[in-house]
This record gives sequence, structure tokens and C-alpha cells, in this order.
Amino acid sequence: MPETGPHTPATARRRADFSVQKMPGFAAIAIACFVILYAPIITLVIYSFNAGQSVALWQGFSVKWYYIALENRAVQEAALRSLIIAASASAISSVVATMAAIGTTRTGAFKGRTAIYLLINQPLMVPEIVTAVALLIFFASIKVATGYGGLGYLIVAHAAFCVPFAYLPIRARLEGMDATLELAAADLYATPWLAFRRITLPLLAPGIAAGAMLAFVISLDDVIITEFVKSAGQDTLPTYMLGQLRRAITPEVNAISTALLALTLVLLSVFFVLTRARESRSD
Amino acid sequence: MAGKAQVDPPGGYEAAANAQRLHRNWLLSLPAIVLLLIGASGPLLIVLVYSFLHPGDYGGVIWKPTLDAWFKIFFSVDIFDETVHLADAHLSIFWRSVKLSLLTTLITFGFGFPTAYFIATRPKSQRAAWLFLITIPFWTNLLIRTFAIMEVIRNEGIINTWAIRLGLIDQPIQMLYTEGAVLLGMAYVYLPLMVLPLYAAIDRFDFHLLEAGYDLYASRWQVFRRIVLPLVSPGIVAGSILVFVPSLGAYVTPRVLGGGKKMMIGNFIELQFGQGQNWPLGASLSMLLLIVVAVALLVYVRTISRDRADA
Amino acid sequence: MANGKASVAVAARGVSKIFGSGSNEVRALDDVSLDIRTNEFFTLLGPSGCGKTTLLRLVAGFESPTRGSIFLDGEDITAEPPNRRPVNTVFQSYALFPHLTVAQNVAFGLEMLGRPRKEISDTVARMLALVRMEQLANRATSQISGGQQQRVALARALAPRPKVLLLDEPLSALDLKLRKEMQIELKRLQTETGITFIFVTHDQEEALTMSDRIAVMSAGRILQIGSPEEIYNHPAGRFVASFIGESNFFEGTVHNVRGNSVEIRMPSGDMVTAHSLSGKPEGSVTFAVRPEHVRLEQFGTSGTLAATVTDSVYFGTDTHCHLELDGGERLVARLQNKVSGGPGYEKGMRAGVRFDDGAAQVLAD
Repeated sequence: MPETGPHTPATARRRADFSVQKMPGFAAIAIACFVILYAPIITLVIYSFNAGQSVALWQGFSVKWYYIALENRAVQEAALRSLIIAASASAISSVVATMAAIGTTRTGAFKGRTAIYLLINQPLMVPEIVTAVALLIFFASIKVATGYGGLGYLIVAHAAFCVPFAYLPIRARLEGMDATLELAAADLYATPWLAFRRITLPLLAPGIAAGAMLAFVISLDDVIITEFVKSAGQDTLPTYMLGQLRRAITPEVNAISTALLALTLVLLSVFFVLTRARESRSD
Repeated sequence: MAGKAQVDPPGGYEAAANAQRLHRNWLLSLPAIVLLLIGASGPLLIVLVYSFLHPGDYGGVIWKPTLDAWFKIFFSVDIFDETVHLADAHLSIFWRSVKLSLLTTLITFGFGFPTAYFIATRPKSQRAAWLFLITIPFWTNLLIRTFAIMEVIRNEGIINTWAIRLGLIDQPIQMLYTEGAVLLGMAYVYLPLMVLPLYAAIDRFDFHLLEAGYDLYASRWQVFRRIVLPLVSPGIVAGSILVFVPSLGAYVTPRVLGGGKKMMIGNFIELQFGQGQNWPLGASLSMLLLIVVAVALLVYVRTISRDRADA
Repeated sequence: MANGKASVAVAARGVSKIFGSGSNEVRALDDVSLDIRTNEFFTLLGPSGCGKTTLLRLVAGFESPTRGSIFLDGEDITAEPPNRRPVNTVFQSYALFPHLTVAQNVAFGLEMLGRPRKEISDTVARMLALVRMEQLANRATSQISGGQQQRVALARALAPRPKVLLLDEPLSALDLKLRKEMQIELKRLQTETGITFIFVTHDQEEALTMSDRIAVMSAGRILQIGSPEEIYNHPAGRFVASFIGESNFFEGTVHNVRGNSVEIRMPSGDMVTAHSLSGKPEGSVTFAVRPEHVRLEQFGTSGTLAATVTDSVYFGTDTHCHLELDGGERLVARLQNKVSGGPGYEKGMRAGVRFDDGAAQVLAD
């Protein structure tokens, strides 16, 4: 046995542990991935503040494109329309999704549950272009039959594809909820409705809010279905931007994009705060 | 016996309670069902019906049944001698759609797997932040992201402008409106869809198994090939389906980055309802796309359930 | 081998392991040196957080020492990655590969070593027979019980015929009955294979029943190394005496030393003869006496310590008598029960306390 003392030079330095998890090159690719994901978006945001016409050459800082976008009537109307549709779709979809989540979660299997699941998640599975075409045909015939040409079509279409996005967080929250709470309420003489009002709903509220938030973001971002369902003069912000692509691109589009991006970011942060609160409370 | 005085409901109390629960659950789900039947699923049936009708002269349909639209997906009839040919134009669009979707899936996997692995192996306190960085692009408007790519690669875009300024090239390189641009754009916008399910799978992975692998003389590559990959394969299938399905039906990205020339199925379908004025053909193409997607999803569900059965 | 008596399988020299840095620094191992002999069943025993698992992981190669070196058969393996060390581990969680069958799990190490197909299948069959799992060779690892998983983990680690087998609390997930069975099984496997076992546990009974030698660890240091009997009968310090079995502790001053025999004067003035492991104790010392080595006699018998029974608890096989000496010290005596009933000492009675010869043990701290 070699009598190696603890302070021989070979062993005195601190060795790096053998890292079990490490895979060579993975970290580099991952960092590259994050750079690639963000570089174009950040460039887009930066050039929304460009003083010049170009989206490639920097000609000084300015917020003039935001002014130009704000004063553009078409943009104003499209923005307002986007918000109205998103708010309505989010409200409708969270109400129906909450009801459906209560009807399909924690009740055990029942006849038709799989069918309901499939229907609710259908917008996640069917390519959007197919749904868009279907809605175009369907709503066109209703328009002819009723003569109604308002925002209702867009709101119904948006509410429908928002349902799964509202449903999933609510369901997750319900599944994480202690079922004995409602039993305890019933034991303390609460009727089913009172137990729901006083116990289930308050506990479910963060999930519903999170679902509504996601639904709002999804509606706000939609291009394809809106493009097919809208009547003339019913542009939302995304379809307005898509229409602008045929013309010369100015940083005005960057400014609109940045504003939308900022709104999405705010809503997402609220969503994460809501779901985070859920996790920490259930701990 | 006090209980004897009461008459049990038919099938007993338990059956009655079950029936009541069934009733309640369906009633609660009803608004969602109605909304989705009107706003999503129901109209698909109309598309199916339309795919078996004759086209109207200026859009719309003539209510006379025919298989013409389905036939025309793959074949064309020569107007002069009425000979039947394969519809080359259509097939090249399908081929491009499938090819670009497969390539998109491959590229996103190549970048997405190391990224998901990287996030899953961060200290627990950092993971949520890294994941958030992936989720932001995921929830960011697809149009805006496509748009951001366009601004980078178009002739007056940042790459060409700076390459010319730095004297690397004299003329801008045409990158926009090429297949490469569509591929780049799709890989860019769908990358988070690959990373998220992969992360979920790797996060569930028991890293003690890696210790066992190294302890049993496996090299890094062997540990990766023989232990990591097989165990996260459900996540790989999920991520691939999640990228492949929307790629196949992509509309915005090929329209913006491919222009009118590098069409994919989605744009071709739209064309039938716009300038093409052939609604039944558009309908049959939509149904075809739906069938392909359904097959992909079935593969996915079977993989998942097989995995569950193993566990 | 420089060591003539028995060859050394694993040696640690001045090994320290520090996790974290700055104010978060945790010294998991503090200047640990030890020799583990070839073919022995060696146990690292200590409470959780004592560093025993860290030491095992250093031998396996999952961790590198901050200072010091690890030797295997006299060769410095400190810098070798785990996949190049001829040692195998049975993990606490078993870490069976869930996508492979029982037989594929056992074959894994041999495949990684690139052994020929025939040899692999032969070895796998032999290993499965060794742990009595031939019948379940093609089962998925999720379809077998915890005890069976344990056997597969053992077979998998033994299959490449490692120089040393490392076992990280492998029995902790099993229920009591199965654990007893596996203790015997492990001992049998060790004897049959002749492989050096390093076994980590916090269970003193497990350590005492299975080991050839035990190292008792606490706070990153090795407190005592010895055979189970040495550790139990002659604990070196207060920690060892209380962690392994139960002990009564007393204070006193050294009156006279003759060889290993020390005469101690207790504060009450009574004299007690105690055994000392090493050195020449002087001044005030602590000594320990096991409860089963305490005898009760008639009060006032010469050579006994005067005491009062404060409580008496019946335990079936024995009765625990809680006593207070007239000097104020408290102790417990464990008295064997007879067919006729308990030992007959009730609360409040007076008694004379006597320690068995050699039962009192002078502690180093």
C-alpha cells in the first residue's frame, strides 16, 4: 500500500466531480438555441424604435412609429376589435370550460367522458386551416340565411378554439384539490350549491383566472381562423399586419408587434404568478 | 328492521346515484359541447359533405354528388384528349409539405433535445426560469415570430444589409421566398413545441439510472443511447407529433416566408376557396390533411398507452 | 502489497470531501483514512449525514475527493471515472433500468465491457440462479416485487465480477421480514463469491449481524473501526457507545491504572473497576455500562452501589429497571424475566447495583 499523505501535490488540488448528467456539447447547443430564439424577436423590438424607415439600419432612437401606429385609424379599429373579441372569447370559454371541468374531473369514468374529452381538445388536434375552411363554409351559409354580419361569428369561433386552453389549467387545479373539502362542507350541512359557492369556486379561482388569461392570449394571437371567418372591414391586429406584408415594410409593423408582444408578456407573467401561487399553496 | 319499510329504487341506491351523476356531468359539459359543435367540430362535417359535391362557378357548390374532388387531388384530366395524368402540381405541393414538415421535425429535435436536457439538468431553483424562456416564444404570436425571421433574412433585412456594408457581398442574397426560408421559419416557430414535451419526459427521468449505467462500465454515448433515449422516447414521439402536425397544416409561415411560390398544403387549400374557386377540391384536400393528422395522432396515442402499460 | 497480514482491497488516504463553498460549505468527509481488506464484509455505519454514503460514492467514482486519494488493490484510482473502475454498486433505489427485462439488466454491464455473447448469456444465467431469479428472467422490472428487484440489483452488480461490491443501504426499502431474509442472503452471497463487500447502513443491528468489521462514522469522521464484538463491548467513545446499543454513562476520577484495568472513584466515593481500550487515562473520565450488564442485589450487599428503583417497565423477555444511585446518577438495568415473572424490583424499593466484570468501559471523550 503506498503511504500517500493527504498533502501530496497530486492530491492537494480540488478535483471536479465526475458529472453523471453531463452530455458533451449539449449546453452549447442549448445556449445557441436560446440565442436563436430571442435574437430575431429582440431585433424586431429594437428596430421599432428606429428613427428611420429601415428595419435594418439604425438611424437613431425614436418612438415616432408608435405615434404613427396609434394615429392610424385602421390600427386603432383593429386593436379595439382584437381586444373585444379576445375579452368576449376568453369570458365565454372560461365559463363553459369551468363547467365542463367540474363535470369531467374527479367524478370517475362515466359514459361519454372520452367523447367529451375529444371534443374539448379537438381544436388542439385538427389543423387550424381545416377548421378555418369549415367555419368559412358554415358561417357563409348562416350569413346568407340570417343576414347577420357582425363580430358574433369571430367571437364564437375564437371562444370555441379557446376552450381547451381554458379547460386544462382549471382541470389541473381541480385534480390537485382535496376532494374531502367538499365532503367536509357537506358534513357541515352545506347544500351542493353552497359547497360549490363557498368552497370549490374560491379554491378554483386561480385556475379559472389562469385559463382565462391563456384564452385571451390565444385569441389575441389568432391569424388563420380570423382571416377566413372575418367579413370585409373586420380586421384584427394580426390580420391587419398580415395584410400590410404586401406593402413596403416600415417599422410601424414592428411597433405594433412590440405592443402586442408586451401585452402577451404581461398576461403570461400574470398567468405564471397565478399557477405559481397554486404550486406553493399545495406544497 | 327500519330499512325494510322503504322501497329500494330500481337497481338499488348505487345505480340511482350513478345515473344522477351521469346526468349532472353531461349537463355541466353541455355548454362546452354546444360551443365546440358550432364553432369547431360540427362544420367539419359540412366540409366532408362538400368534398363530395360539384364546384359552383364562382365559389360555393352545386348540390350534386360526385367523387370528382377526391379524384382531382391526385389526377388531372387533359382537356383536349381526356387522358388521365397524375396531378404533378398537386403532388409537388404534397411532397414539399411532407418533406419540409419532416425536416422541421428533425431540426427541432436536433436543437430541442439538448435544450430540453440542459433545462432538466439545471438546479431546481433555476429550472422554472429557463423553462419560462422557452415558454415566452411559445405563447408569442406566431405571425410576429415569422415576421421577425422575415426581417432578418429579406433582401433589405439585417443580414443582407450588414453583409453588403461590410463588403462581404455586392448583391443581397435571395433568402426570402425560398424553401429554405420556409424551413427556417417553421423550425424557428415550432421549436418550443418540441422542447416542452421533451423537457417533461427528461424531467421525469431518474438520473440515478445514469449512475447505474456508468457504474456498469457504459461510456457517455452508451449511457445516452442505451438508457436516456429509450426512456424518454414517449417525449420524443410527443414532441415530434406536436411539431409535425402543425407543420403539415402550416399556413402563415409558408405564406409569409415562401411567398406565393413555395406553397404548402395549407396555402393550397386556401387557394381553392380564394382565387381557385373550387370549394369541393379545397374540402377534399382539407379532409385528406385531417386523415393524415389523425393517423399521426393515433400513432402517438398508441405509443403513449403502450408506455403506460409498461409502467 | 506493503501490508503483509491481509491484502487491502480499498484504501482511503486523507480523504476530505467538501460540498458547496463559502458559508454554504459542508464538510461531508474530514480527513478520512482506512483500509478495507480483501474478501471482507465491511460496513460503514452511522446516522444520516455522517458521510458514509459520500465515502461509498467516492469509491464508486460518482464523486471526487476534495483532498486525498482512493486506492483499489494498491492502485490510485482517484482520477478514474466510474465506468472505468472495476467496482459495482447496488443502489439504495436499486436503479434498475425500467425499459429492460430482468435478464437484460443483469447483462448490461457485461455488454458494456464487450464480452462475447455466449459468455454474457452464461454469466446472466449463473447470476440469476445465484439470486434465485431464473424463473423471472424475462419479466419487466416493474412486474416484480421489491425483494425481487433487490435480488436483480445484486445480480446485476455481481455479474461483471467486480473487485469490490458497494451496497448503499440496499435493505432500507424492504419490510422487516424480508430484510432479515436478505441479510442472511447477502452474507451467503459474499461468502460464495468471495468478493469484498462495502455495505452502508444506519441500522446498527444490520451492521452487527452481517459485518466482519464495522467503521462507525459521525460528522464526516471515522470514530472507531473494529469487529462487531469489539465495537459493541469496547466502544471507544460516548457516540459509539450510545449509537450502537444502549449505555449508561457515569463520571469519575482515575484512582489507579494497572494495564487495561482502571480503578475509578465515583463522586459518591464508591470504587468501580473499568476497562480501558488504550492509553493511560487520568483525571476525570467517563465510563459506560450496558444495561444488560447491570445486576441488582440485596440492598447493602458489600461492593454494590446503593440505589433506589424509580420505575420498572415490563418488556416480555426482560424488565427495564430505572434506578437512581445515592450519588444522584441515573441508570437503567435490563433484567431477564423468568417463568415465575419479573425480577421483583418495584418502584420505590432500595437495591444494590453491581456491574459485571469488565462491563464498565472507559471512554475516550
